[in-house]
Amino acid sequence: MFSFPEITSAFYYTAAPVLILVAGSMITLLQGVSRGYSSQRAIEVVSWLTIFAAILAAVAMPVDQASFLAGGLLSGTLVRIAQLAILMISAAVMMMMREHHTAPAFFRGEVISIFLMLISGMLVLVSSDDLVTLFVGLELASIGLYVILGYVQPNRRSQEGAIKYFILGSVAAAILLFGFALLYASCGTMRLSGIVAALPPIAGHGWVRLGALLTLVGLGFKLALVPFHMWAPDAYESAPTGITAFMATTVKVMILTVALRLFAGAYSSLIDVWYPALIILAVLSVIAGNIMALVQSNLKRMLAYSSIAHSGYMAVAVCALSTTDTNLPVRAILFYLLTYVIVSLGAFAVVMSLETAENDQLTIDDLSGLAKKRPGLALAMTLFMLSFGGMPPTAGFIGKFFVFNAALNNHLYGLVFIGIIGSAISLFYYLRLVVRMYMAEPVAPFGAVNTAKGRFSLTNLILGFAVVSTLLLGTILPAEIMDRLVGAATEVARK
Amino acid sequence: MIPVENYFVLSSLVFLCGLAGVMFRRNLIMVLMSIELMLNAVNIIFVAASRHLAQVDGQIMVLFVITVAACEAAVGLAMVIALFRRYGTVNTEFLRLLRG
Repeated sequence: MFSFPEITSAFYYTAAPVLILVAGSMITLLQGVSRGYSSQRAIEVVSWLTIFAAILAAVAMPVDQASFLAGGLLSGTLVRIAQLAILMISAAVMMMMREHHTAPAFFRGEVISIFLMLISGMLVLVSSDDLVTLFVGLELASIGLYVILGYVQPNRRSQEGAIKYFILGSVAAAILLFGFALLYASCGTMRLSGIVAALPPIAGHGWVRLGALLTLVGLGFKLALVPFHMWAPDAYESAPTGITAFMATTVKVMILTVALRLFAGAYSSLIDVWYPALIILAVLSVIAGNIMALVQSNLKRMLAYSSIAHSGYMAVAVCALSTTDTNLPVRAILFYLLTYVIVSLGAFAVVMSLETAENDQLTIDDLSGLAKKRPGLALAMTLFMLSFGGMPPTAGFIGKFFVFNAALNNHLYGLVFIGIIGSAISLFYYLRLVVRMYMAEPVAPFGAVNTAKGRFSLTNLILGFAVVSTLLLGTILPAEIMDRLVGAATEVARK
Repeated sequence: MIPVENYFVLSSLVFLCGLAGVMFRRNLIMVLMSIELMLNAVNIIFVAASRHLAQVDGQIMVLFVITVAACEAAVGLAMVIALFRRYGTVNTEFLRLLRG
């Protein structure tokens, strides 16, 4: 008889969030096909139970570093942080979607099933050390997103966005896989940690360098770094806003977790390949992302270009990984990611509470004079825009401070200069929105946005949470958070 | 005995054909086929490396890549059919609603 010595109770505790999500996905799928027997309400209840059970399981996950299934599943602090972040974003997005006009389309059996399944793919991706599970997790997440993008509200716009995202996402996956294949062939192992350990002596070889470069390009595609960003504005604009918020945040969390595993360990040995490429990507993303955002009139499209620029700032911090002490840049990236996720969720929550079924593509003009009609929302949006622009006393300021600090420690003066120029450009369009909300007169009938006075709602709850976190992360919490990230940063550090 | 680098060259050429197909073809079905070509080009490396290193890992990976490619093809074809119903064509030049 076979025995499985690795299948211990610790394995089940580590795999619990993924297993719960897959089970929930299967149940909602069955509920979806047995429509006569299962109400919409029952599907919703199962999906909420699943996501909260998964969050509880992730909280209870062991944090000591261990590896199961020959590297297919890791446990550790970084894994737990990334899984909790992805699950909490998902729960927040489900709360916001519940009150959005697309709720009946979203809480269908098949859509919720795909949603839960793609979250499980993301969890697999952040907790795997093996190229096979890594690729399967990535594709599970990506294919789920392609479907959700075009299927929740099947109209011209969303189908066009979905096919564009599908083609470019598949090409990105193929390029990433080509890089993985070359790294596997050169290093002789499928383990990411094994590849990182085997790279230094063979890093001069041409095929190894090509593999490393292609891996970076694949990750750059998924992170929407310029010039691999073409899919992002179209996909962000065309998706239902809740899904846009989900994509804009979780995809960055999962890809950066993988990138940190690879770059923190192997960066210095392949520095002559990655460093120039990353500098080009970072500079182009910060400058082009911010300049393109200037000319947008569609609010979601503007936020998409702003998210491209924010990816660029994170790439600046990745450039700084070449110091002997990778701890500071890794923590800077994680902190920046945290601030970006919270502020993005808040900004998209504002957009979602203003959208109506008639007008679900808000323009910047639609927000004119918002402060008179909905002062609370206008104030929250102002705070988020200031944070995106990096103004004190908000989370965005501290995030940028840590990133630039990490880059300065590594003598990347030029990059920091470019970053500050980019921030200055970005302030123009962020503040233009604030000026519109406070100083402009409402556009004629003002029927275009949802002006119903906000009573208590889950969206407002998320909004309040984002406002409080943005202020706390900008004032009293940063030191505390940075201390707590030390454990995660040492896990990926060069051995 | 053919050196393993030759397989890398072959795979790169097939991969570039696929990439060129995605970039220059205007028919969505051809674009889907080009994506499949790219994934299968990668499989050549995995099999060659697996044989070269005398490991089975690379061939296991190929099985997973084939499966994932099938899923992608299924989703991609479904999207193409949905677009065909709406536009009556599968040409990418009709996808011009989103720009800027």
